[in-house]
Amino acid sequence: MAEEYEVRAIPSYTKEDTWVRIMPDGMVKIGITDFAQKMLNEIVAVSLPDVGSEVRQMQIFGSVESVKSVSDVYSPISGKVKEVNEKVLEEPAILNQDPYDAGWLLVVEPAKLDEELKNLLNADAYKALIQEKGH
Amino acid sequence: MGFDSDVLILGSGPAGYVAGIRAAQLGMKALVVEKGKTGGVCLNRGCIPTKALIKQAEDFLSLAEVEKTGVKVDRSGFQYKSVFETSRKASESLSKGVQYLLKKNGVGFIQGTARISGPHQVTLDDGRVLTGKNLLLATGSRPRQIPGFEFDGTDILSSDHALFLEELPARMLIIGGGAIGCEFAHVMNAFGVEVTVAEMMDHLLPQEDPDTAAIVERAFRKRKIDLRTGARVAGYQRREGELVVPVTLKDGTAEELVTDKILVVTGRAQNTDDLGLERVGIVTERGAVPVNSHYQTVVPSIYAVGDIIASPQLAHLASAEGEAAVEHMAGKGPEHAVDPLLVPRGVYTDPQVAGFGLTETNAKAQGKRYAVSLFSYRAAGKAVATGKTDGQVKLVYDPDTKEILGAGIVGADATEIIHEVLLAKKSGLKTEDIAGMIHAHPTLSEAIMEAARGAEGWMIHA
Repeated sequence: MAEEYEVRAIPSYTKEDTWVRIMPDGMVKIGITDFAQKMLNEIVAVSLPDVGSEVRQMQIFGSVESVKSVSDVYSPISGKVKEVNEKVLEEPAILNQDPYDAGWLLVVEPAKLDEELKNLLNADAYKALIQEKGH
Repeated sequence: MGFDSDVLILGSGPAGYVAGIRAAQLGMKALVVEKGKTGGVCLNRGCIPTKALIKQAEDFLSLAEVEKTGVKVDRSGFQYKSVFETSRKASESLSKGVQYLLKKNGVGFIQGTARISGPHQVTLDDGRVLTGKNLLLATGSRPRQIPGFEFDGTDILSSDHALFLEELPARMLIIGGGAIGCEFAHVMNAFGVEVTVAEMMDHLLPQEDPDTAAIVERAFRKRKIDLRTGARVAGYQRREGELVVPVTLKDGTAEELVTDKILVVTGRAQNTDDLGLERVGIVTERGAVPVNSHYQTVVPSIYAVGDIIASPQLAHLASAEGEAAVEHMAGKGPEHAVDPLLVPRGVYTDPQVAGFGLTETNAKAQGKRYAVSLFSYRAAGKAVATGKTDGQVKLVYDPDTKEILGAGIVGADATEIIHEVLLAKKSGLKTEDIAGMIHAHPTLSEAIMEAARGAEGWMIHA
């Protein structure tokens, strides 16, 4: 019953099961959580926006499909897409294996990071949320 | 007293020409007056030419699938003008077909603009007066203009203008994410136009359930169609050869959308303003002609059907109303009365959307006791084998009686396969009847069977 979901201390989370991590150069990395990949099960396709397009906080930017269902992916912050993880597009299973590192989805240049960080969840709050969701 | 005809029909669209033929079948002398082209909007500036564009758009999109097999496709000779011309040929051929059908059935046809000049008569532009025991108003609708975006045919397009484009812009902003907007987004994107859709409501296809619309939205996003829902626009500016539209989103954020052409498809206005309605005391309600359940106006000899009345503006509904109206004139009672819960609707995007009856949103709003059974296309073998896994079948039913209240299908061939469920509903069949009927394998219709089995508690491929 009590399935284990990894929730790391460092990134910030959204209630829509995405994470965002600030990198040393001021860019941010975005991905889906361990809980999200486990809920989806075997991921077979990922759809992401183009480099140069804009994402907005809590707006859908892409989707992740498993054998049984499709989930929209919500952006934790607003900004311009600088990089797209081509590897997960080719090999979506990476998202199941390593959602927090190799399975990142986007690198984004944030537009209003300080302001938007306030809207995100820390690790404890996210843990509490998935406790509710998962059962 | 003698009339020129038993029924004098204004308009030759799907309401008018079908009513004319049905009247002739019932032994009535029918006369159709048309000011534009026979077949109305549907054949000339609506359903038919758009389907020709969509077919070609989908052929074009499928080249990408062919390329996955290693074939190199050279698209350099592509000319949109040829796509356009093919769509016109389909329209012209069907328009001629309507003329032929009218002639074959002995329905009279007059080219001209008519205005009502009495309970039993109309006056043509050239002064001629035509009389009919009954008048049937079937004058249809036209694209509705919104303030700040007055149609000019160059920058600000209506669906009429968009259908007659002979070359494509680099970018297009579509205002209105209903059926028409989504179909144009599908076509334009397929041919390489950078498309943005701005919809005021929270999701595209606002008449459908949010989960149905979400599947279309996801497919659109995958194809890099830019979506702005909950978006308000008030006008545009011309700036250095570009069109700039300020947009305000629900959360209060504002941005500017930059584009080359703006297509405004937020609805259609009834053609009731220049009909002479006031001469006989017919007063429109928000543009629509009020009618009773037999499509009679306040003037008993004058009936109205199709887009000019308050029912959904659908060609097949217009035809059904036209038939019912002339059947009533013929004293045949409601031989084919129109039940609003049995009117199918379809959107020809990829994936397609089709439905009838109550959506889940409707059922909830009406406080109905209802349950929902869902079956995903990705669990249907045929959908997986053909790469058409975006989709689902949704049945809304009464959990006690298992009566079907409505259905919503999104996915490949949705507009065709919906009719099985509709026939079941019309015949008073229940979910167990669909669940227990053997469906050929592999077909997309199996998804309908599985959804019905879900309602019965024995879904196999879940």
